[in-house]
Amino acid sequence: MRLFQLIALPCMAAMLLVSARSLVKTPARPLAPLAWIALWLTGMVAVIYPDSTTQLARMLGIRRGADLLVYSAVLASIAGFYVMSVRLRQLSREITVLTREVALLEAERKKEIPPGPTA
Amino acid sequence: MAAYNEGGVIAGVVRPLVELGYGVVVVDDGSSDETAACARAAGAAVVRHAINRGQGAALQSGLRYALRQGARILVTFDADGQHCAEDIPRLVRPIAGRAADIVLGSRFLEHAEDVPAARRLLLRLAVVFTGVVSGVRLTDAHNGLRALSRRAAEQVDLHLDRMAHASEIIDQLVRTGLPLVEVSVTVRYTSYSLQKGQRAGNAARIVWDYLLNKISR
Repeated sequence: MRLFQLIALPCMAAMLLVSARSLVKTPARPLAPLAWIALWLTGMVAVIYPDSTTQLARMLGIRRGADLLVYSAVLASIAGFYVMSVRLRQLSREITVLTREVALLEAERKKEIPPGPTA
Repeated sequence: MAAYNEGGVIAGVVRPLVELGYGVVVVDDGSSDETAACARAAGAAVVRHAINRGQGAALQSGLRYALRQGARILVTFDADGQHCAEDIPRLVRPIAGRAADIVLGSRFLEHAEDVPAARRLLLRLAVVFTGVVSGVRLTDAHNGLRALSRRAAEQVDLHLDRMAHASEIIDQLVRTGLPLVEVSVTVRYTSYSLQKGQRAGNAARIVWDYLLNKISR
C-alpha cells in the first residue's frame, strides 16, 4: 500500500462514518447523507484502484482519470455554489419577514396611526 | 415611504403631505440617524425595521402596514424629496374614479428634458428590460411614485429586498390583470437625490437579482 493510500483511506473512512451516523440520526432527511456516503465510497474505490478513474474517464470520452476528477470537482463546485446561494436567499428572506413582523407589531403596539384618509 | 438615513430631508418631505391631509407611513429601514424621530415629529406614522433590509423590503412593510390600517388607496413616495406632493391627486384620480387600480408615475410623458442624460439612458434600458420580462410597455419603469387601489396592493408580495423590487413590483402588478395607467409626474433632480438614486453600476446587480429570483422561486 502506498503512503497516499495510507493517509487518504483512514480519513475517508472517518468521513464515511460521520455521514453514516448523520443518516442514522436523521433518517427523515436521508438525501444529503446518502450523497456524501456515495461520494466517500467512490473516493475510496478511486484511491484503492487508481486505474479505475482512468477506465471510467475513457468510457466517458475523457483521456485521463485526473481530468475526470478535475471536471467533476468543477461541476460539483458550481452546483454547490448554486445551492448555497439559494439557501442564502432563503435565509435572507426569513430575516426580512421576521424584521417586518417585529416592526409591524411594534408599530401597532405604539399605536402609530397615519392621520389622514390615505396612506 | 421607505427611508434609510434620510434624517436631513425626511421632515421636509413628510410635512407637505401631512399638510395636504394625507396619512403618511414612513418605514425607517434601520437608519443610524434620526430619520424615525424626524418623520414622527413631522406627522408620519413610523414603522421601524430593527436592521436595514433594503428599499423593497421597507416598501412591502409600508404597504402591509397601510393595508392593516384600512387604507383604500395607497401611494408610494420616495423619501429623498424628488417627488412632488402636488402630483398625488392626479395619481389617485383614476383609482377614485374606478378607471384604474394601478397608476404609475412617469417622468417621460411630459417633462423628459429635465432628466439628466445618463439617468435617462439608464431608465430607458430599465423600460426595455421591464418590457421584455413583464410584457408591458411603459414609458418609465423605475419611478417610485405610484398609486394602488387596495385590491392591487393586497396582491403585491415583494421578495426582492433591494433595488430590483422596482422591476418586481411592476411584474406583480401586471400579473394581477387589473387596469393600469401611467400618469405624468415631476421628478426633481437635486445633487442629494442623484447621490441617493440608482446608478449605472447597480443595473447589473438589479438584473442579476431579478433573474435569480425568477429562476429560484
